[in-house]
Amino acid sequence: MTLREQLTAGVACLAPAALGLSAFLCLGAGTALAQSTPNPSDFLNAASDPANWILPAKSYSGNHYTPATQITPQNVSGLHLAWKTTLDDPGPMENSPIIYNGTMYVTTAHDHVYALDAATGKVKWEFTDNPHVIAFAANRGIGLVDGNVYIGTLDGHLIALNADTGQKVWDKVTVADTANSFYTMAPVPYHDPNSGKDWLLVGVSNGDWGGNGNITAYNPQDGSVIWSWGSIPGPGEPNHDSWGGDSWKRAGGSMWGGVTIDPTTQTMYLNVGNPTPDFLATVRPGDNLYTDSMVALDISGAQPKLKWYHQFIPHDTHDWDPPMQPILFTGKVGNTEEKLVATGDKAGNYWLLDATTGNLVDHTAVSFQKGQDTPPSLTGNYACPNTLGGVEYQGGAYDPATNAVLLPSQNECGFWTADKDAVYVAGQFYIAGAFPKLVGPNTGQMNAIDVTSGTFDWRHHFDLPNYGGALATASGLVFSGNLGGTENAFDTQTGNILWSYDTGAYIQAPSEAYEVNGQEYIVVASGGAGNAAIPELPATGQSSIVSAFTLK
Amino acid sequence: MRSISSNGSIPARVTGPDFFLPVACLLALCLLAGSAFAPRARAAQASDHQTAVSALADVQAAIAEIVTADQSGSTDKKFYYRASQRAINALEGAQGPEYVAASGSAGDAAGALGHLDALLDRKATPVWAEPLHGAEANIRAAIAHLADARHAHELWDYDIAVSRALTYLLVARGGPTELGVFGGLDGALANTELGVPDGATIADGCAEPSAPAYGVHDGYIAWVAVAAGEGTHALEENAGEQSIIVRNNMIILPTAAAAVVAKECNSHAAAQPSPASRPIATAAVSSPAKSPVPALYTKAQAAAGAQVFASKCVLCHGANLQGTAAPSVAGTDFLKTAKNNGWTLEVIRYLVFNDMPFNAPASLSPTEYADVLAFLLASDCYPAGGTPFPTADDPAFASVKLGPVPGVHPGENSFGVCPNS
Repeated sequence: MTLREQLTAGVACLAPAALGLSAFLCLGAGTALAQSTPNPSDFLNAASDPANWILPAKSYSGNHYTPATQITPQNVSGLHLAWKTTLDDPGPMENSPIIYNGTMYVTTAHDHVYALDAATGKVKWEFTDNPHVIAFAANRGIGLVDGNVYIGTLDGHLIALNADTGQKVWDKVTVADTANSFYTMAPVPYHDPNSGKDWLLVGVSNGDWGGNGNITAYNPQDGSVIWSWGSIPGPGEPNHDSWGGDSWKRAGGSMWGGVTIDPTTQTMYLNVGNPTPDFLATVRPGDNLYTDSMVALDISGAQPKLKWYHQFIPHDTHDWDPPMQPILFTGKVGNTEEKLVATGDKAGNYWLLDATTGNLVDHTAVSFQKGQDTPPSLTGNYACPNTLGGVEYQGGAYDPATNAVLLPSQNECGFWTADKDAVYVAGQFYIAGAFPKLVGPNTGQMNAIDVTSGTFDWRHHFDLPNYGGALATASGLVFSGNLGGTENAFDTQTGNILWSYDTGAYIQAPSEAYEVNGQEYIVVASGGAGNAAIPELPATGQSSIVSAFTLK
Repeated sequence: MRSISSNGSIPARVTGPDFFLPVACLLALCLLAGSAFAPRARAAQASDHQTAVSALADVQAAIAEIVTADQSGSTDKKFYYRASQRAINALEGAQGPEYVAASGSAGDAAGALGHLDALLDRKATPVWAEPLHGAEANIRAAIAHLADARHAHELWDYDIAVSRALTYLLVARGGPTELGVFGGLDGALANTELGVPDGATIADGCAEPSAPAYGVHDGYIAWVAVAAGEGTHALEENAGEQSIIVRNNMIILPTAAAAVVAKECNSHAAAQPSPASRPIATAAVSSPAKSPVPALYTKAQAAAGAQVFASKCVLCHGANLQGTAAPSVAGTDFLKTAKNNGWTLEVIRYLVFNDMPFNAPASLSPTEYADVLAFLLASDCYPAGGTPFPTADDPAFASVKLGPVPGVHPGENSFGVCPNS
């Protein structure tokens, strides 16, 4: 194809050889030259761009680390509220805003999508949805690519909205079973260099409702399936015998924690959710692969292939899965620089693996743990952490300056009971028991974990859970919100809090940094407590709020 | 001379010529009945039927082992331990964690669980999956108690453990007259396609038998027909028949599943009326009589329940019952979902009483739970009456299917929620 033919074709990708570029530059049909959505090289270089935040965890690495340096430990005490916007859909806010060229896209618990002016917080457009809620109302954000905003909804739709206007472009039911399947995770755009096609990666939420998890690549043009990888091996597949009888048919293993990709090796890292029924493990004898594992998939072919898996908790009896996006980084173990991948789980563990082999490098307990070897009984027994404890989905960061992983964790214990049997009822939890009764202590901490030794550089204790994840800045700060509603800035070296702000609603979403016209902002969403509600929570507002902070 | 003898614990025998099926006989029970022991033929790849028969044989062998030990009168502890282990071996098979080779097995190498695993481990979910699941669960429970029996200190400890195991095994074995879990393996073989012997003739269970065959429909055996006439006709499996029909030179044994199949056959027929029977006047099409909507609670309960909801439920489920962080619990969205998913009152009752409030499940008093159920039913426009919603469970709730209540409801708002007073 000549260059001219390439340019006039529907979706034209200019091959590097023609232009001497090191990455593809693709023009989607109908997009303006002043692009409203990122291109493939934007996504590949996201980690080094302080202005935009175009993937849920900043970049494909899952490392919530910003190269922005305007806000420093020296001047952070001067941070003040730049704007606060209240959105008209109350509920818990689990959103990671996507910010590109001065427009911020946020979502609320019932799948409303808002485009805000990132400098002023003014609403540019709103898309309203009213989905049926199967269990939890939450949405973690959008994907921005090919001129569209993409959202996965609580009633199993994938919806494309025009990024400039918010008008619906297409709307498709993409789950296999709308009775028990839905979406909360942010769709992740990825440009596949082998086929030249864009993928939209989404994992379905169905694990605790009797479905089997999968991660699927959709065509952003129309929502058709490019490939799908299921987390539960079926008959004839390796490790199928880790499921006794036919328990593999309702096995769980959702992958809704986010997608980490190493483009240089074309490896995808995913955390796999818990096995079901959650609390009656006798129904599923065996190790129950690949639940409660990290998997590394080779995505260089037409269909992903499993490279390695590392199971953290075989035959889980307490819903203690690793719910966050894996953090891929190159760090120092002793004197050696190694490619590593870190995660935490709800059992209160921090895990550090070799990113190439999946071998264990380090394991540190980061929450109070108790009763983890005894399954829930019919009459009930205690174990810690409960399903709201340990390390949750908001993820963390790796700071190269201190060679430390920043990761918050919670100390929450629970009293669990199991049922005598597991009965699948369409649309209900398939857990064979009740979610644990909260028994305290319901505290949390921000942890800085040294990569070489696996010990704590520092821990900062809170009297309430700290669900704000961790945003690390190149200037030496960590930003994280506490459930009670306070956004905090820590000194990365010491863990001292240098600045705080009460947002006026509960925080259970990660913080982000961005720039507009060279001015740096910090942003965090806050809202209702939802099922994170604990008796100790101080009363505060429950409106859905986005707050942005700046120096000037 | 025709004679029919039938006994609940031995294969049914029907006299008649020419229609002889091999009897699959099992150890002690066969010896008691006085019929010859026929070793099971081992095919290179066992059929589902053979596998199920083998599973039942292993369970029966385990039962026989512990019953025989019990009747022995031995005072040697090791004798009883060995019997328990041999029973475990028959149930678990050589792959099981509790298997001990030295004791030998009352059953075969695969064990009941090995056979059940082979039957259940497939993509499809046949109608016999449910009783086999139940059998599997009961066998595992029995193994747990037999494992205790293996190191019982005193004979009466052993008796207690073995008695517990025996109750589970009897349910796992089941009986041919029951469908579902209580029918166990025997019921599954009697009433579902699992019981059709290899190579047997199969006919449509909705039709009348015209030749010796197994009448199968939608996975169930509705009847077994054997040719009438002089001689002995033995059946491979218990048919669980309640009656014997002699018609058209056939002896027809309807199974316990016959009623279920008849219902399905009727619904198929109703969906596609034959041209000859299509009514000319549309008014002639009859609709089933509408069963009245039950009155399940009192007004006083609903009022009390509104208070419980306001203090314990409203944060997640919203003052308008449409959900903030959690799903809707009354009104159009909730009832549409309930209907589509086939939720019964039992499902919702269980969820509320045992799993709610979400972060403190089962922490309210039974009265509070009953009151809040009354409030939810009122909000769903179900009528109030004189009988209060009970604090105890009621098996009848499993038959109350939830869905939009027909008719006009005064005060119903745009969410489809009715006032509770």
